[in-house]
Amino acid sequence: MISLKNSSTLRFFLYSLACFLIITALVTTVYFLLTHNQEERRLRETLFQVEENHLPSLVSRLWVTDYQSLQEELDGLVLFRYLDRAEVSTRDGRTFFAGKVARDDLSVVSKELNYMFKDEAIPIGTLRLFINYRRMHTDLFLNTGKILALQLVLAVLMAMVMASIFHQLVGKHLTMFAQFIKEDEPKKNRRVFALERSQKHDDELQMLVNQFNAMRDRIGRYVVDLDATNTELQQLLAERNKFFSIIAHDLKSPMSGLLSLSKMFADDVETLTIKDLQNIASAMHKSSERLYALMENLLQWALMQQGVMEFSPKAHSLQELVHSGIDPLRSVSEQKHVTLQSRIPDDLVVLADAQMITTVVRNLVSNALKYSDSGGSVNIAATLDQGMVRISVQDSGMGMDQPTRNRIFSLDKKASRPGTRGEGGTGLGLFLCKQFIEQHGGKIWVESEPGKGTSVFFTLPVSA
Amino acid sequence: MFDATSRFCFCLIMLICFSGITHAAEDTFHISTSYKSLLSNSEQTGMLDRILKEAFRRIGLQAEIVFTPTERSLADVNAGLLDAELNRIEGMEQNFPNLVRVPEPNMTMDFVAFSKHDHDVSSWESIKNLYIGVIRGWKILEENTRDFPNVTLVPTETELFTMLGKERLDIALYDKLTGYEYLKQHGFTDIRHLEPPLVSRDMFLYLHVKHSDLLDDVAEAIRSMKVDGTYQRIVSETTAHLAIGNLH
Repeated sequence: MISLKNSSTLRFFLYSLACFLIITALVTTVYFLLTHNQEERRLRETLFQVEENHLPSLVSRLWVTDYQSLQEELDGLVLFRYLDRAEVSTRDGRTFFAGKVARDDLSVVSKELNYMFKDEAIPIGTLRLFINYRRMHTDLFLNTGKILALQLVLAVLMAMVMASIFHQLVGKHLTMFAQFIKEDEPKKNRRVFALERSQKHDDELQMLVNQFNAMRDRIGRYVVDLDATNTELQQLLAERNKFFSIIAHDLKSPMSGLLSLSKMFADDVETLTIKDLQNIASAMHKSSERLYALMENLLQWALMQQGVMEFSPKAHSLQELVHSGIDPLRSVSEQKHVTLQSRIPDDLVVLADAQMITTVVRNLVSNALKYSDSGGSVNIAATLDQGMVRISVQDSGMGMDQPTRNRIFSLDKKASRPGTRGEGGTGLGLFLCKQFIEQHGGKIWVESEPGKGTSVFFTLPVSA
Repeated sequence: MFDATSRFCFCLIMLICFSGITHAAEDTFHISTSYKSLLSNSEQTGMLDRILKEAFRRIGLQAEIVFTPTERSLADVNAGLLDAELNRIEGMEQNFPNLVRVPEPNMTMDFVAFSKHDHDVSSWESIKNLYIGVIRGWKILEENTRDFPNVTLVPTETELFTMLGKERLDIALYDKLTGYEYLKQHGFTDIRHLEPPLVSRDMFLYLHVKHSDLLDDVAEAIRSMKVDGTYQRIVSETTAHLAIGNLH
């Protein structure tokens, strides 16, 4: 789970709280100013009321010396808010008061008490009102403090509610979203992320989820493609490694033979007999042939790898293509006394790249000759099979077991075996054959049993 | 040892004695008063206290004066809780139907003008433009001064005579007898009443209706006291310290 420390809900709570606190501060300030004005106005109204209503009554009571009523009137006056003391001093030195002790911190409002008697204003006393502004301000601050405290609590609660709503609407989904992304494996899991909502809303969150799912699909496809590409690259890398292995090993043997033979020829030419010279020359020729064949296959493979080799299928007579492939090998078959026969109908026309198919035929027939004993035979035939031409190269050689059959078309495992006369091999030929046939859209496979010969089949498309 | 006749006589004597005590208790007449002045007081030595106690004594009853606040006094007598109400003007029976008035007045109350200076007080019209003080609730005075321009209503006689002493009033209207009592008690030496009285009212004793049979006897007793000088003697004894003229 995502911790609260980094949660957007917490940030939303803090932002909401900050907003509410600002509002609270403003409201409290406005409340304070309004209440202050209200209290000031109320105090003015009190003084006005005293002057309008109570002053005549006080004057009247003082005039008639109704001191008991005067005292009651004063007792009533101090019931007014913030009027701490009311005091009447008469002209003859008497003092009547109600309320608290007169303190220096109280503001005093004085009113002269005059009675109209026989058309003359007779001064009969003084009214003094002691107003407690300090208490007013204290009450004001206390009330404001209470309001502020209440608002702060409300602000926190509202921020929590807002944060909770935000969490329910957005935060919760984002957390689940992040969790899903964390656990999701696009290649393996084909799950679709969905918001947990009672009702569907086409809002930004839903848009995000839709886009995420679409992106996830694309990524899934990319990953699959990438895996395929990776596998292919791995395969290519293995092939390249094989290539270098071939260069390092298979080129070395004939070249070593050629070098040693040529050195022997150079060093001992004066002592060698004609027969020796003939043998050395023959051995050098065989090494050269092997080198040439190897170089030719390597060249083909290199061209194919670099993409330089152009694949240009055209309609060709299969018989001509096969003959082009086997003609250079007729001398080999004669030397090994292996019968080489081609029974390709002359009317079969295939859609093929002539150079590639010639290479395929030459490699297959070369192999068949290599593993055939003297007196054996190599037969090449072709038949139509479900719109394709199936060509077979059948020999009567040593055959091969199942494990060998499984690896003869790949480069990463050593599959080449020496021929019946110790001919070497690179294993590159059949690999090339497979590449070329598959490029034509055909298939290649082998049927063989140890000691019962081998038949290699491949198919090519028929030219329309 | 006593014989049967002696025992009978003893019992008869005891019965007569106890029945006499009981009768005496039942005959005590409770007269309610709301005054606290020389007219009536809690010691029952006021002028009216003594007059009425003597009047009831003359008809063979013992009277006791009981102080009760003004409003409750009338209500209690009307309800029969007390036997009589002291010193009320004529006509109270209209509002209190259980009260019956003794036809002979207790006294005559003179409402006079008190002042520091001489003024013409021969009629209400003559004092109309003076600054007048009246105690609030004294109906007879309020009604007569209702349309006067300079009337000040005060709660008690204290304010009335204090204002007069400070010369905030030209005259203060009040009962002559109790007015002088107040002036004497509070040391006002420069205030006196002006003749003639502005209005005089006979004051009567009211009995509860259950004592209607005593009306004539009580009236006759009061009347006889006036005739034989007892009434005037009591008045003189209770008002002599005020040093004012004839009172009746």
